[in-house]
Amino acid sequence: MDGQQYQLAAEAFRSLRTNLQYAALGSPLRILTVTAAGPDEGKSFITANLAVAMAQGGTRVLAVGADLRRPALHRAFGLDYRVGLTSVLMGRMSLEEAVRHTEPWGVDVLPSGPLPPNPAELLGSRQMAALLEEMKQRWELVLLDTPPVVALSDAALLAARSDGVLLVVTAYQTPRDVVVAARRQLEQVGARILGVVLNRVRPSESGRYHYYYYYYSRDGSSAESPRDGRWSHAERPSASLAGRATGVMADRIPGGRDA
Amino acid sequence: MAIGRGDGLVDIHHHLLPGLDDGPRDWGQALELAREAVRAGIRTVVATPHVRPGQPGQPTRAAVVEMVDELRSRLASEGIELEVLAGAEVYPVPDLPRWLAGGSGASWDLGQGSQIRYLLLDLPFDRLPPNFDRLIFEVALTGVTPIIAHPERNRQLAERPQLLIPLVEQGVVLQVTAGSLVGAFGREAQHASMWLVRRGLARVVATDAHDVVRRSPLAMREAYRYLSRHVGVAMAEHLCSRWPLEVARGEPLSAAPPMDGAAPAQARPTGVRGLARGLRAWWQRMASSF
Repeated sequence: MDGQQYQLAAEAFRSLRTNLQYAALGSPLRILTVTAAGPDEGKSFITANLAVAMAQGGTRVLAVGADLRRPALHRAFGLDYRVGLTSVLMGRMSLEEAVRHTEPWGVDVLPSGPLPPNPAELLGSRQMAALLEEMKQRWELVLLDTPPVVALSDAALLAARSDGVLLVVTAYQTPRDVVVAARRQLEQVGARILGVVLNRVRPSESGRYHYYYYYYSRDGSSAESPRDGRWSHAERPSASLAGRATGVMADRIPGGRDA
Repeated sequence: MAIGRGDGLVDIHHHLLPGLDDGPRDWGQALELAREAVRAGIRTVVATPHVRPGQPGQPTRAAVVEMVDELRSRLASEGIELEVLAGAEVYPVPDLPRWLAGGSGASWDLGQGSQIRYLLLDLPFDRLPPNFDRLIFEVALTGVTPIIAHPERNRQLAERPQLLIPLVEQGVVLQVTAGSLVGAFGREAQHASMWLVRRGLARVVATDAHDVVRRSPLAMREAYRYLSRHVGVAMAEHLCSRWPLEVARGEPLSAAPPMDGAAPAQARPTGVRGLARGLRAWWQRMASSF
């Protein structure tokens, strides 16, 4: 990704942050579920970057790896997933023991922990409800990275307990009926869909994007072949987060600290 | 002390200690086994006697460490260049998580004082124990990464190795036995073990050596050659040397190398059809894990 594209990406996350703040006007937004219609739409990437953008706007943020099927959030921050959410839910350790503070980004991260055989049961448990309450007390914003909403109940369970949901959709790829099904499932549990993030928009079209059009790519080629640029395939995507992206976000977002 | 020199084969499942289980009966047989291991190109062995947690008369960690020390000095005086580490092959009793959390078992890891530790788990030969995925989860919660020993020799898993996919997705490491790969345990075990290798599910090859006749360490060399021929030298080295060395050191496993002779990567359908197909495949994987 070249410098201009980084700026586009950083700009996209910054306006995503602003739009969320507008969307949440009138009712508090403390727990936000990030989900996708289908697999591989890049929601962990979105979650991680949104968390960084929020933290750099001065919000105390906790990013939670609540995808207990194919965890990816930890990779964005260069963490190990083996200690985390499930360790806390199963009473093996306390929340503060499991949460990692990521220094360069100012984001607190709770990775998934060991993967259970029964994710939905665990995420729908009373312990999870209590844990979300505890998180709400201690962080201003809790971002939940969840599995895709279609075909699995995990995300819907968490969405029902959240103040809002962001739905990640891959541009030009996710079929309309899949997105519609996702929306229906979320609405059935009474979730409040705050917006849709359109991922992997082609740069050539980004010139005329508006609020909900965001572009990202690791190497600029994702638009043509979704797999090449698939961010979660990188060995340690955190390198890109840590290096240039954060630089862009930290340095070039106007009013980053006091927004 | 740094473990392993980075060259030679590494064997993390080997019944090398005498008198503890169905391995060698005395020091003479143990030394014979060690010589055979060196002849097979093995440089590092984790000695893994059977341990059944909670049963009376089981070897303790201290006893195993003491025997490993004695074996080291005997190897030195015989001039046998083989590095030996203390480990165990633990039977997955229902009580295992509690045993591990209780501290008595925590030291049974294969790793040597590093963050990620591994625990070699035996399997019954007929079927997976009920609620095995639950047990694996509870073991992982204690902080160790479970390694399943020779799944291809379990009758149920040899017939349906795809049952292992959800376990691997849960983070389990699969160890296939060298003899299985070269056909020493029959066609079914060979097919299943090669299926696991080709799918990238198996990460470690080990001898499970008990003696120099039937379950000999020499199988390691044959397996290494066999794998080099069928899946490429890079993959063979990872399976027989690099990954087991990382296990012995208690390090996370490095990324998989390219594999020769793998099914040619098919052009992935894109667009609506591609996504629908991806969703379907993914949903089937999910459904099979419930």
